[in-house]
Amino acid sequence: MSVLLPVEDAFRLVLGAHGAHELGNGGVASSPHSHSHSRVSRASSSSASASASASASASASASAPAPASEALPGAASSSSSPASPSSSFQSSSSSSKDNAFETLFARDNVCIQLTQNARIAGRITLTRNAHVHGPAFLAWLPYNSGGAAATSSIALPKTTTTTTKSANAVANTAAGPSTSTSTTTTSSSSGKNNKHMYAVHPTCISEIHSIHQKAPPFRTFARSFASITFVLHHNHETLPTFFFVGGGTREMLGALASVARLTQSAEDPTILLVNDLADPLSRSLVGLDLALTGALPPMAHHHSQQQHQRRSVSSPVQRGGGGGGNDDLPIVQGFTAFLGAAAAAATDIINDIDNMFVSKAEAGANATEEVVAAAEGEREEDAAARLRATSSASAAEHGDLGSFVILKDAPPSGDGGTRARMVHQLAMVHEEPPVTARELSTFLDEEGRMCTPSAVLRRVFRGGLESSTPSTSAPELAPPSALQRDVWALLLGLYGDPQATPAERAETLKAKRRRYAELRMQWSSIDGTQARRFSKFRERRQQIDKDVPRTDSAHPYFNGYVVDEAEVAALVARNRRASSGASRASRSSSIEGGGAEAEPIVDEDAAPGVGSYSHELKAHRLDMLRGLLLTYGMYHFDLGYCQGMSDVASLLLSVMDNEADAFWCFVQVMDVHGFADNFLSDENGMARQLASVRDLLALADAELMAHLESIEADNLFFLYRWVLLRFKRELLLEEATRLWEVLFCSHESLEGLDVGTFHLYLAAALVTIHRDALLRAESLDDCLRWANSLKECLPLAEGLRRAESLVMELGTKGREAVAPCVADVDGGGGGGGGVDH
Amino acid sequence: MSSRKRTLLKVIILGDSGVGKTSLMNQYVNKKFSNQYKATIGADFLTKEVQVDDRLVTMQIWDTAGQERFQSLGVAFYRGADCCVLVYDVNVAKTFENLDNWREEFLIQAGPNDPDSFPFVVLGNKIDYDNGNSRVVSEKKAKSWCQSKGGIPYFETSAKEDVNVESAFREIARNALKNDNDDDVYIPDTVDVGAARTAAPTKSSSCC
Repeated sequence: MSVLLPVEDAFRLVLGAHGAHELGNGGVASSPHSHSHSRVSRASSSSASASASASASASASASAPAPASEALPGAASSSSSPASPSSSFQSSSSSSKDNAFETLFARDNVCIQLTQNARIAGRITLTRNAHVHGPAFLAWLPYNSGGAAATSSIALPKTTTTTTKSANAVANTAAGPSTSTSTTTTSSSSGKNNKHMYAVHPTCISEIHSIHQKAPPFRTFARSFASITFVLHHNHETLPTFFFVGGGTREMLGALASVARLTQSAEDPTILLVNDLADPLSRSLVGLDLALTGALPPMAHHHSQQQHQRRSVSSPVQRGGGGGGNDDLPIVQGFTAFLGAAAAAATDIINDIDNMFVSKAEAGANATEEVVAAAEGEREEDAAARLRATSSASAAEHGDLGSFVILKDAPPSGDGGTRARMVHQLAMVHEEPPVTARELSTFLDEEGRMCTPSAVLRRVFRGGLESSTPSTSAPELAPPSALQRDVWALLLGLYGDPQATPAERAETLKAKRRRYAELRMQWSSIDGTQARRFSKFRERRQQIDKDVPRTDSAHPYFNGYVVDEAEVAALVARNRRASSGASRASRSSSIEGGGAEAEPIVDEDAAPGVGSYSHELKAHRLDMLRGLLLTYGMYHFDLGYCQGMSDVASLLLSVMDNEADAFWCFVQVMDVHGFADNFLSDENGMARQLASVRDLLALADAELMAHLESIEADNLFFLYRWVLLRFKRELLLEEATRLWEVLFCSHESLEGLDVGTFHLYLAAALVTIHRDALLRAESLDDCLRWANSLKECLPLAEGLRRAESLVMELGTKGREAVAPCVADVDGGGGGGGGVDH
Repeated sequence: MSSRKRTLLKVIILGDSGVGKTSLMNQYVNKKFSNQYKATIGADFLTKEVQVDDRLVTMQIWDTAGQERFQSLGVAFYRGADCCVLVYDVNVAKTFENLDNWREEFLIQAGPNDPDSFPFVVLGNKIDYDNGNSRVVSEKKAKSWCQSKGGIPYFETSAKEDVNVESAFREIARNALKNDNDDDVYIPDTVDVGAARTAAPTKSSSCC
């Protein structure tokens, strides 16, 4: 097993002493919901997504604030369920769709005060990764208040599978009436202020030092203006003070208490000290801190607060001191508090393990003994993983290389390779809660310019996107998401300059689509006679025709899966319009030839009530893939078509769901992210990248590299497919999509990293993770067998963590090893001539 | 260390993209056909234990990418081959015409000791397609090409319908074994790094 830190050992001791006992008492029930609730939310979200397209609900949630305090906006289904204040308190509230992140608490009409007269209303949320019991995150996002920023889309309003008419619609939305919130009283002076700049993006609970509460000034307004201020560890900065207009501070604190230990400051009863439960180290340190602060002041404090609402917050001091409540000796009190804190900390560890186990095995709560016994085995792994995650997160933040823990002997976790397991692992990549459409909109200023695109990329890198987060059940059936399309368009430059206004972005997009139509004509206008005299084109087309149907033929998207049947009709109609225009000459528009009736053919095998398969849609999607590749063959004639390109294009198409848009993303991926390099006919690009991985490995694990040399496997040809397609073939399409999202954001998120190089670190990381297997290899054949056996069971989460630490660890040396991809795209590289033979 | 003697036969399947190399391999090894195989990227191999006459041999069947663009891999992976299987699609003339190229390319890259006697087997695949109505390369034409190359064994197969696949690979194994006869590879059952390393050069010397 891997390296364990002393801290962990210490905690196991504590745990051994108190754990079993506390568990018997029931402990803190903070997790049984994590399993059952995901099932419930799946059921409810499927009906929701069937009736409303993803786009509609996304934009609705972004622009419809709750007028009344207690009524949560129904459209905001993406981040919370309608719930009464009391029910939203317990963490039983719904998670965001199928995300790994669950919403522990959400409250609308929570305001921040700008000036005496200006207040901004928004929603405060507390989320946590349900799968790994990771740290919880606090966020507050303002409501959209109309104007250009009203649309949650970066450039366009979402018309789901938009092809035409979007530019007009954009103008409409942008000019549309503003839906200002009732609680917002923006003074004229602050009119220029972009309230989105006040958004509190997900902040980890462990960053919070303390919470300051303020009761409402007048008794009559009790609760209505209660406020909470969060003070951070960092320089004791504060987040903006949150005013709970509709009440809810008590519930908020209750939810916080389920993920962090809150302890009243002895000096000021309105201050709660925060101790993150998911971080053992901080737990122990703050526990000590608590004991001291609790020891010094007189007891009177504690008694006076018995009546206070905050008393409901379970605190180790209170629990520990309960028995000795009448004891007036401060030292004894302090000592008791300390013991209490230690016992409680131990309980929490046990509970974590317990909960994790229960949710996994669906074991009953009565099987206490078994749970403890079984947890014994899991504990090390889980704790180590958590520590590693914590250390990597903090190191990333502070740029502190010293705190990285490279676990040389960390076991490869991918053995079974079942789909559920993979998706579960991938969820662990998400260190932060996913970005929602609403949060994305807060990155836009009043005019809709994206001021800090790199901040968005960093958030996406750490948190992923709400809808692209794989669910535990059938992620492949999720419809293409508007949010994802938007962000990918941004990542891949489809909208041009992100700092342009929406109108300018729409204009860029329009121009690009127009240009695409022209490019497409270059081949679609080739008739039989011309083709007969154009062997290069014929051969290329033949190869594309061979590859397109088999590229992702098992995936629902390319089988014409659709959630909503009405969508099929709309899409077919739209397509018919489009193909009668720009692509009239396309010989292969199967929709065109498919007849007038756009009747979707429903497949009996489709999951009940979720969606159906349409042959027309299947033909349409394959046709888009084909069109994209043929057009690229014209656009970059020297490079042409090469096997593997259809894999790149299919992934992009499944995200963009639009041929022209996917094409321009494809171009960007090829040119900027270095994919074109992979397909040069002299194979120099591949040779260079494999050499880069070799250099990284030599730096990271010289012993392993020496072994590979000794068995003549140091050419790393066994990693060819990994590098060529950036793991796309090794993963399910959804997982590959999320991985690519990470890759596309990596250069903005990891300091000094060049575009299109992170996958090389990932390849090296995955190799070092499996060093034992490779050290046993006796030939290149063995290595290839090993690499191919990892298909669909790559330990991706671990690999990404390791890759990130490699970037830090190797520093400049590493960056030199992966020397930037400078694809000589225009010249076709060293020998970008012939494609076919 | 085990005293059992096993023979490893390395077989490389070559041919144009889409002629059915992956399908043939999977039909033979796993007795399965799927029309959802993706285009092969890089290389992959499967192994199968087979009885040839009275010998038990392990066939290591290498599936390769049909597109020319990935040829650098060939040098590394073709090395030590005991037999090369050339596949074409009887419904696509071009795939037949390219057999010459594939054969020559292989001989250059693998560099066997005696190119003239190196065993090839030719498979004309997809005979089931369109009930044979789309067929453009006749059996006679294929056979005469095989004759001109020194009498290469020829089979007409359908990976989809499992026609002739077993017998073709039996012949492939027999031919590979013939090539391999001179110097058998000794593969111990237990993993012994030292022994295996000394065995490797012996192996590659068989045809490189």
